[in-house]
Amino acid sequence: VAGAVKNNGRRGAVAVEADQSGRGTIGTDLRENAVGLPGMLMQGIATIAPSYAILASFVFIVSFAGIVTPWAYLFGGALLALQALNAAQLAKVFPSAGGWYTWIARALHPRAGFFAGVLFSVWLPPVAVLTLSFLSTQVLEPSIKAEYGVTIFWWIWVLASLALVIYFAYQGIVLSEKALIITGSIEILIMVALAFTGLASPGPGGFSFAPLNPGNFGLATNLFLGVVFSIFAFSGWESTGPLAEESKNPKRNVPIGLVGSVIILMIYFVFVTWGYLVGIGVDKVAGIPTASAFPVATLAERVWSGAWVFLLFALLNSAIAVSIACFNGGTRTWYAMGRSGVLPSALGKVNPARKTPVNSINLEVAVQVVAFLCVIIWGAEDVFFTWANAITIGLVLMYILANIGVVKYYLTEAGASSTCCCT
Amino acid sequence: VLLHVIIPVVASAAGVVVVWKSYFSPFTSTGPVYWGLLVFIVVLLITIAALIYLRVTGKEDWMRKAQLVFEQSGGGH
Repeated sequence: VAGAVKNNGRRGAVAVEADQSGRGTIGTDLRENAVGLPGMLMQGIATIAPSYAILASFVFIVSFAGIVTPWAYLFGGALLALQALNAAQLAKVFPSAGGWYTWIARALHPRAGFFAGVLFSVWLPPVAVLTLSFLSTQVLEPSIKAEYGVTIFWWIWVLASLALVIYFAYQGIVLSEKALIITGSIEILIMVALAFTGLASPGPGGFSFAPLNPGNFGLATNLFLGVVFSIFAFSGWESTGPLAEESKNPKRNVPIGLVGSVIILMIYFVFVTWGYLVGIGVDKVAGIPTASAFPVATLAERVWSGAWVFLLFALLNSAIAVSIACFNGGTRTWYAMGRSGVLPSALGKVNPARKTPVNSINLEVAVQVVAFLCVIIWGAEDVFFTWANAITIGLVLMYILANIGVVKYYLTEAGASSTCCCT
Repeated sequence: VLLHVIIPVVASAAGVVVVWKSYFSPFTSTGPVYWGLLVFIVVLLITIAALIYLRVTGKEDWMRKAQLVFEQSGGGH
């Protein structure tokens, strides 16, 4: 059955080939072939936020894993690499701007997919204000004041950075992915450089391979919990999916983006946490959880002197990059849900010149206002961690639904079609 | 079988353990972990309510469209 799905209400229709079950194909009004493999990888990497994740997780994970903290990140990354591998099985056969919404809807059931769509609607849209607020209240405002005696209020950082993120969102996917690659690369370079400097200029205990030695597992107070909480540090790799309709060769690049971003960040986390532990001092690891200042910042001050502000720059870069990536991922999910009619069809409207889902972006800007009000009312730290805990449990449930979908699809539908074609 | 059965099952089991250890063992009745759990439950209830509304009002054509998979227009591989 050939049909047409009105996807924007004003600009006509997108051609659709669908059978009665809806298991067909659809075109897109977004800018096709705009994002290459580097952009897809950076979409996942930037949403994981390499330096911001260190800020949000390092001290907490050291409190459980101690000297073997790199192993916590390695095990956590390995678990998520398995999950990414599962998601890739769906991404390679069901590319769509809906990402997980479409994958689960197609492989398991549309109502299960709806849950993934709602989760992405809660998760990605408020990221910009929440991450920027947490960073500026906890690090930027106090650090700049301590270093230079100047108070730049936290909300100035939030509003200025947010303006930049919104500008990139309206300009279109090509410009925002270029910005993502530049900002993401800068933050990784700075964080890796700090790790190298830590190894070259070790703290008390000297240069050591102890953090990489599995024989030291017994020194961790609870390595298992360290692994559990390292998983939060990796959250973000999932956001590669919604860029499928703007990706070159999405059946290849989306799966590589999903798995590749986890593996790259796993290597990154293991290396930089080793460098930071050696730089801080392997004999001082027990003092990290109770340190009054962020220990990685203290390390940067010791080894880089005045140039330690590069660390602040990396963190701000990271927050801006994750905000751009989440704007892209969130708006594309809404676009796909608007197009399918489960959300108002206006969200499926695309700007004809820039090929951006303009109403979805407008709504996401409105979400920033709501998130900003929440931060003002309840405080950045409580709102950030409450949101983080809410989406983490939701993501795990979404992973499980996708896993069931993989088993169901490959044991029934794909199995039947391969039997059909081989005989 | 490894890729399409064993790995999904292992990854799902790991997910269940992670949720149990993070949120319920031990269970805390205050703080961001607890509030996050409450927010998640609210989101889940809203999702279920929305699905019931869509079913009761007969607005279920979205289920067909939600399964449509993107096909590149120009063979841009």
